[in-house]
Amino acid sequence: MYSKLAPSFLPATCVLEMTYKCNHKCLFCSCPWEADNKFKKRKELTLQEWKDCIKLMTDNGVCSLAFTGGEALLNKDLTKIIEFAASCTSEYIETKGDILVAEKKPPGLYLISNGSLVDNKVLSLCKNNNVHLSMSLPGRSTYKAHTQSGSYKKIIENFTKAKNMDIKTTVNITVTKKNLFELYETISEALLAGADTLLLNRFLPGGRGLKYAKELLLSKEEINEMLDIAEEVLKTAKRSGSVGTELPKCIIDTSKYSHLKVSTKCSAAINFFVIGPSGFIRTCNHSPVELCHFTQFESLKSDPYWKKFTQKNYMPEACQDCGSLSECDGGCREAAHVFCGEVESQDPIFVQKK
Amino acid sequence: MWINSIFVIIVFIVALIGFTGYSLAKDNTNNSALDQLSRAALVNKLEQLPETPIDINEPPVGAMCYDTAAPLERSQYICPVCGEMTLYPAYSTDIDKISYYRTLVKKIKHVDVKLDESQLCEKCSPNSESRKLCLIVKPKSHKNLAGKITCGITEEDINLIYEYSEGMKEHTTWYGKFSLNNYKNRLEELFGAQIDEIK
Repeated sequence: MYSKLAPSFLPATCVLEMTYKCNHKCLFCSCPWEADNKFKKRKELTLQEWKDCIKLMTDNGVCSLAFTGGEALLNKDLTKIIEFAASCTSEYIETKGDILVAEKKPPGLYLISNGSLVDNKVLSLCKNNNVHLSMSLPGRSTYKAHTQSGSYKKIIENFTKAKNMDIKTTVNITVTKKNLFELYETISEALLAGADTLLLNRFLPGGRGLKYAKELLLSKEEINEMLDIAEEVLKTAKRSGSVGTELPKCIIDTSKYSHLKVSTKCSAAINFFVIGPSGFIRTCNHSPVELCHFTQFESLKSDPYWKKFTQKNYMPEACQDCGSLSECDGGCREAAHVFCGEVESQDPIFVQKK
Repeated sequence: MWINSIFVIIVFIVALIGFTGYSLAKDNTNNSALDQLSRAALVNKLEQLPETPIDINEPPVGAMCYDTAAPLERSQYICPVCGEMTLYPAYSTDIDKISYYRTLVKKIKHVDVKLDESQLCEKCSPNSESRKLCLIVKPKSHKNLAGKITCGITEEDINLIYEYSEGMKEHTTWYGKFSLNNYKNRLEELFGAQIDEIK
């Protein structure tokens, strides 16, 4: 069997949270600093520190950088940071035929925004640096009820503008109990406006969303309805999409979906990880646990919390004898952690809280 | 006069609500006809969108909330000892299922079994001639013997040891259940010792 030592143990995708600040107040926001907990907001990284961070990551096997926040566009240096990232080089090691082949090229860049501050200047930034733009659209008539700010119409118009400039886009929809009824229309209108793909996220309690868990959390039946609706739209439009958060295999039938990628496995610390606004590494965007500063990333190799994810030592007790154990991680481990107290707790879908 | 005017205004408002279906409280159930119409129009427009390549046939590697980047085509082994990552060609079953194999081995209580992953790590075993997953088996009745190491093991091997150690008479496969005695030779290879007939 052909094998090769990776440039480092770091996952290939790094999510960079550019700032704590946000111009929306989404009810479903899972940013850990928005929860009423002890998560400490520290001093945000400077332009030079972000550049150092990106250089270090791309030199160590990171091939994709996703800029998010908060709202990434509220970082005043974002343009310079993205332009710097586009000038870096990553080593892509992938399967070609039966062997692994290494190729050096610029990292894939992704801007994850709520879309409210996206204007011609931002679109030009995306165009000139080959940035894939993802914009959030949590509902149509319920948009403002979810975001507390911004305009549905503006986001739709931005998809059209991006399409006209040949910028690849994703419509990112967080599905809640309150916007499920108009999911068909929301996806449809985004695709018709010009969005290329769909990223569907079920609401998971965390951050500010912890306060609204009871009103927003989908039931098993509603999750299945969500998947069926998305599949129906995508099939009609001959498009593809994916579900961003892993689902427990026992509540869904993945074989039903030919246009929607539905995963039952967790990728945290294996395929992606997060660097927060102050430069501290977390396993995933839902995680409230800051592990180390990016400059000390080598220490993660022996960090028990990081290893719990890389070795998948986090399965809930209730799943231990499940026949689908090889294909499922029992739902979202960090949402379970935030909502129920332990990484090994059950996914929030199985938990009824009053 | 005032009473008449107020009455007329109230009647007008009630009539307006009745004719337009307008509701102060949002009621989604009353909009079904409108939704049906707009749904049909949407379907028509969606069908006219240009086709784009659908690339989701392979089993998804894993989910991430910001899943905009397609994961790289490769299998990744993260060593539990040194923490480094060794890369293998995509869909290397042993690598992709290693955490599941570990869980299966943990379930075996009556036989001393360990997964030997050392060959899989390029950092820990840079000069290893093969990159195979091995199993070290030491029956509890053979306390003085060294463990038997078998390399290139499969999920079925781990299941056979589990079933045998639990006193089961049958081996469960995707195709059904079969007498465990049919697998006696393989079990003896794995144990490195003869075992009794399984009745």
